[in-house]
Amino acid sequence: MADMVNILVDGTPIAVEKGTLVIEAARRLGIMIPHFCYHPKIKPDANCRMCLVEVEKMPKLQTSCSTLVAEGMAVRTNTAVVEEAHKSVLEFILANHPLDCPICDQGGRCDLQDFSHRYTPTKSDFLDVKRVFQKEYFSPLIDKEMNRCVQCLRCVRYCDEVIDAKALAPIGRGSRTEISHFTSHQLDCEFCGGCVQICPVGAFTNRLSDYEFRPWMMKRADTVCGYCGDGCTITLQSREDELIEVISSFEKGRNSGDLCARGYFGYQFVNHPDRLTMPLVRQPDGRFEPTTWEDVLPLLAERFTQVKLAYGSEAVGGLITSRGTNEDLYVFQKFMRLAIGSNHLDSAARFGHVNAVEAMRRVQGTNRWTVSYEDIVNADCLLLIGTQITWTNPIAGLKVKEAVKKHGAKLLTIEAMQPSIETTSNIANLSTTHLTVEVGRHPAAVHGLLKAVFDEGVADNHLAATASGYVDRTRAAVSALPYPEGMDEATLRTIARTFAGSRRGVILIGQDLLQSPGGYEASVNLMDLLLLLGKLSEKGWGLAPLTEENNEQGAIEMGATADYFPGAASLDDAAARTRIASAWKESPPVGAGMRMLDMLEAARSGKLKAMLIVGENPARTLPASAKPAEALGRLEFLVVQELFLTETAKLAHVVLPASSYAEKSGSFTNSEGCVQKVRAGLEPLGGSRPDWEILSAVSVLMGYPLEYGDAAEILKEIRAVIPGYRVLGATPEPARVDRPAMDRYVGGGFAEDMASRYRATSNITQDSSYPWSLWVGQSLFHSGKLSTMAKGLLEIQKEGRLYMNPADLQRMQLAEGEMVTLTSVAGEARVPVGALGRIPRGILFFPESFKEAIAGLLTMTPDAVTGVPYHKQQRVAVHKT
Amino acid sequence: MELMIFAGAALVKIAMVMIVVLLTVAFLTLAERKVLSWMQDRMGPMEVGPYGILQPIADGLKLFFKEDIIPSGANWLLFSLAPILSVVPALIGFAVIPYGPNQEMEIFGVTIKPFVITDINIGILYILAFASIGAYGIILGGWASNNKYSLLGGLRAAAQVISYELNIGLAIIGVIILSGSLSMVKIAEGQAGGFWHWYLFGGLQIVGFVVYVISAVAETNRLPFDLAEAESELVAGWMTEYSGMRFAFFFMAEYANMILVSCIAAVLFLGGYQSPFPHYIIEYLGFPGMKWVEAVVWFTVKVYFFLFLFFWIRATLPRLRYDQLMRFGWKVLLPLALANVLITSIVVYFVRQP
Amino acid sequence: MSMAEPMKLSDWIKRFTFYEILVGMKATMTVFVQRIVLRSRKAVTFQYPHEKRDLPGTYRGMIALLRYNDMTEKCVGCDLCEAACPSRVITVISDEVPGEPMKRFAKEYYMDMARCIFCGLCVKACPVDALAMTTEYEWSVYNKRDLRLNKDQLLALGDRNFPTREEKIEHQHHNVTFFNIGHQNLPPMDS
Repeated sequence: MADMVNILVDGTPIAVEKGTLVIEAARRLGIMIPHFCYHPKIKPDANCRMCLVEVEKMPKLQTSCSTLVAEGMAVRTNTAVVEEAHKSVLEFILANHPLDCPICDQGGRCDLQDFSHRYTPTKSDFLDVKRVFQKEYFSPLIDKEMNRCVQCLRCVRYCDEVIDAKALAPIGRGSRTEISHFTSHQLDCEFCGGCVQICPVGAFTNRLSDYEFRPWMMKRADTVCGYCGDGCTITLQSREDELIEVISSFEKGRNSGDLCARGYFGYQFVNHPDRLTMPLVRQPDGRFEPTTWEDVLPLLAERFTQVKLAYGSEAVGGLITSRGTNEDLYVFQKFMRLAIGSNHLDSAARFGHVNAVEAMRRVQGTNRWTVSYEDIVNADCLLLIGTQITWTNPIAGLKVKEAVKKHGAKLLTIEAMQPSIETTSNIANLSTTHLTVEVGRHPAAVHGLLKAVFDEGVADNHLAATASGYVDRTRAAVSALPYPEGMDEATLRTIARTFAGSRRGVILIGQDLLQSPGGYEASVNLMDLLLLLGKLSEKGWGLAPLTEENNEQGAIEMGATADYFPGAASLDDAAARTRIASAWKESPPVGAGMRMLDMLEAARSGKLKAMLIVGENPARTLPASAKPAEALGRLEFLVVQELFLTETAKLAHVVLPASSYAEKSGSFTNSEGCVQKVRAGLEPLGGSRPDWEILSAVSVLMGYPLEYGDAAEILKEIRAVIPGYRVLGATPEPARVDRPAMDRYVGGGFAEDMASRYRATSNITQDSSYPWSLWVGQSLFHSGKLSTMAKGLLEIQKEGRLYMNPADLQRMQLAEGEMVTLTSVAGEARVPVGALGRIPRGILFFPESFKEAIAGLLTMTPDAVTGVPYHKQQRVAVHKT
Repeated sequence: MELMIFAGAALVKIAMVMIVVLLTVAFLTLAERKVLSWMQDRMGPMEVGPYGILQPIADGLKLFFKEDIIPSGANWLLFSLAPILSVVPALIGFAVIPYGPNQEMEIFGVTIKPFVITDINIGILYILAFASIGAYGIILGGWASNNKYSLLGGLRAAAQVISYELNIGLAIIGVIILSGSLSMVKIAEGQAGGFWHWYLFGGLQIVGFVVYVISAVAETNRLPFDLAEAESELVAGWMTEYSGMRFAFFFMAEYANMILVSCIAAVLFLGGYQSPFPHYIIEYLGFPGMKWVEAVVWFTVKVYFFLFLFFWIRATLPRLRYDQLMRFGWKVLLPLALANVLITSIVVYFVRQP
Repeated sequence: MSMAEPMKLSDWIKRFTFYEILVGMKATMTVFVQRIVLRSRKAVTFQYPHEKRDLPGTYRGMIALLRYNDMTEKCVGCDLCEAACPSRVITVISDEVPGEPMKRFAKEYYMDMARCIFCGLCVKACPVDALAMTTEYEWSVYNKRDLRLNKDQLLALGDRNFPTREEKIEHQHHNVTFFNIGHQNLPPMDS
């Protein structure tokens, strides 16, 4: 309980916590003190002098943004002296501020305009010429007009303190201060758009939407971004059915106003000219003929029914993207299970997230995190394993940065990258202890950690007493392993010791760990780590797997996978089956469902005759060596629901136009498990419809009507079917560890696969023919293939470049952008190279959004337990061409 | 054979009269607009033809080519019948009016009386009877439009018309007493010899004349009694739903009525075709055979004088409200007309006593 | 109807001889005679297609877009006229001037004159005086879609009605405003 301080603001008393700034206290009373340089997210700078207030008994006016409250303080914000001060400050600012309002994009939402209007500083004693900066080209996405700058330095401080990219700096002095990029004149940074959003005037503007609109003509909708699993709240601004701009607001949503390049600049795929607007039916000569919904819906119902009658329900499979809303996912799996009658359905959560969910279900009995973003921010110690968090989940990365920079948390990182100063922020730079590992060696690092726990003697004694079997057997298995080759034992032991010794710790894991072989076992091992430290069920501790796509958590919870019913209940859970059967008025099919790779195999062999693919693109996502296109080509009837004509859509018999997340209502569940409302900002484009509407219409024609008036009705049904489904809270209450499940695991469940979990993994075979490790990962500026349809993001990164360490580049005598040929056991590819300091030597990184360029290179191995197709790492050789 | 010649001659006379009347109606519309505008510092129609002379042709063509709209729910038969019931009585009245002296002339070997279509001995009664039928047109027009406002407008207009018809009838009784005959021809002949023989001056029918003129203005729905058809009146008025030729008929009916009452006024009170001097000017000039020309001219002048009076009054006076109108007709003009009859009959009785 | 005082005999005579009416009739007859017989009085009518009124300079006719004296458009595409218009007549789509960074202009400018009420609020709102009201009022069209004027038509209206053009802002006052000018026109700050 913090100490409370009583103060008076404009005669109104208020009690606030000690350490609150006066400007904050006034804001709680609804009094807005005008300010430029203050922002709650960054440290007060008090350079603009606009927030001056009169404090009794202090001789001069004080800046309320840097003054802490004191007991009995009496603040006046609207006396004549204060107004005069405001006027003077505005006069100074306006002395050099150009009269750009008619052409400035900030017009209508400009702090300077608003304050000038309020305080009307009409007289000026300045008769000199205004200072002028030459206009320079700043970047393809952000425009800089320094004439308008009021030198509040919010952009500099935000980029430094919050984003940690440190891309902007002030040069010059006084009114001639110019904000510029550190390394060169053109901006090359994370392009998170934070400087544009935080600038109070129009000094930084969004070039994608420059001059296109005025704030008063925009239609606004608050929704959730559809790119990564962070679930940031964004505000879509549209004009006449074209999405013009995306912004966010401070204090809204899990991201609290922060966005990343994808969220802020990646919205232009919505109005892309290649968007499908009419259903397409393949003609006998192979081309696609546009048709109408009235014609295509009966065709779909007829063909699906035909296949069912001829070959049985088991011959139909379904695949759905985890970008769909919860409503889309729920209706999809209900359609497959009821209308089609098949359990063969899977989602893109299969690509990695199921590893983590299976592990969490097994050990702690939840399918959600037991922590939330607040726990990350307030953690004492954060352990990041295989996340590349600033590229894959930037906003979760911001929480980590906040924990480290503001609250002094210790950061322990085990990543396939090294600390380096670059144009985008690198989380390893903030680490207290960092361990660089080879691609695919994260599971081995986890072994090393466990070994270090025992060697350091920080295992929980209480657990050793109550579950000695578990502790002893784990200790035995772990000691049988050596410390992983290539990893420093001392570092591992430091990490284990630091983590064990903290009061609140969170382990964050990402795709590098989950999407490489051993991902499932490593996740379970990490839960072992938490158990052994005795912290798994403690408040503020937990495993936090970050998801790649925005609704992977939702896909699992809605049961859009072969292994689960809605609520992530397993298929042989009798209670769940009864509950669902009573809600659906019909029992879901019995029998195991085929997972993604199994379905492709069945399609190839001819057992699967028809497939419904919603938003997924296996022809491109899976490597060419797995021959997904051939398998899909064997199907008798393939229906693809998509936004664009993708590779998979080109193989289909019927292509249906779907609506993007900006055009439909529903909900997304982010990595935390926070279910947030998605609101449509536009009408569905052309003839496209939300996925659930399409499936609902087909189901009616097939005789199993799944009719819903709107997305809210579906959510109601979901809540009826899934017990305890917490929805739409402002801050999620994280799930609690299920004690019985934990006890079951510790009691004996752990022993099922101990041998495979604690098997020694050999080091990378120093195969001289393929000396490099290629990792195909997510880059900051793209997410899947969807973002490559956004014009703005393509301006920053338009093609896949093979990134390698600068020293390696020099050694191979390659120039930036030069083409090289990569060869692997599966094939070869030609790509340009680039230098990136964070890539360790011997490792290559290629962004997966452009992986068509290296499609021939990759091989695939499915996980034995979870069926995750591992294909993101490959041994290659590099040849200069 | 005789019958055929007679019928043929009658048809020719009717045709001539109708042509003249219809032409007059057409140019009366122009004349009204021009005279009104001259009295109002304006110019009137000036575009169509020199000084706007061809304006009536433009108006006629416009009305002819307009779309034929019948309101939904309206009775097609009655809707079409109403304008006919308005215009036919107005035109029929011209059958008994003498335009010139009551003499026979030989034209193309046929002996006819060319200056009156037919001289029936109940001329005035005939005209009054047909004027009453004109009221039916108004009521039917209002009712057949399937429009409550038109219905109300029609009823009010019809009430106005029949009230003032009564006054017309009473006002001319004095003249009839003086002339002793209902025939228009006889009445005209009885005023021969100079303006002091005219019933207005010599017969002292001033009160009758005034009542007649006022009632005639009211009968024909002209200002100051035109609230049934004023532009801003009663939302509608009985003519609202009419467009094109049907509206043209109502329009023609109004102007034809105007000419008819002017002709009657000229004949009854101003001696019709008689010259104000004892003999025609042409006779003075020595062409006694041509005096029929001058007679027609005098008749025309008197009719046009009345028409000009109609226009003049329209330019000058504001509109009467319906209650004012009805009160005036029943409470003022009717007693005056009755008094006129009484006094005339008493005076005639005593004066004509041998 | 109550009267303040009893009617005098002259009032009765006036009533029965329609004296007031005859006074009115005399007035109209006077006008008639003066017009037609004496020809001393002219009608007030303007015979429209042959004679037209002289319009005052503040006449609120068709709206036009103006240019500077070097024939560049004045309009900077700021959308203030669109915001000010009470009838939602104006649609502006702005863009950067091709080749000149940070200069803004209206790429497309539509005014749906069928909706316009000619209130002139857009003219008042424009910060660069790019809009003005001409004295053109003869704009009947056969198809009302022809009344949706685009930028070229509006500029043409301005060209034919306002032959005298202003100097560019930066040449009018060298220190008042700096917006929308090419920065190469100005010397860099000497630091």
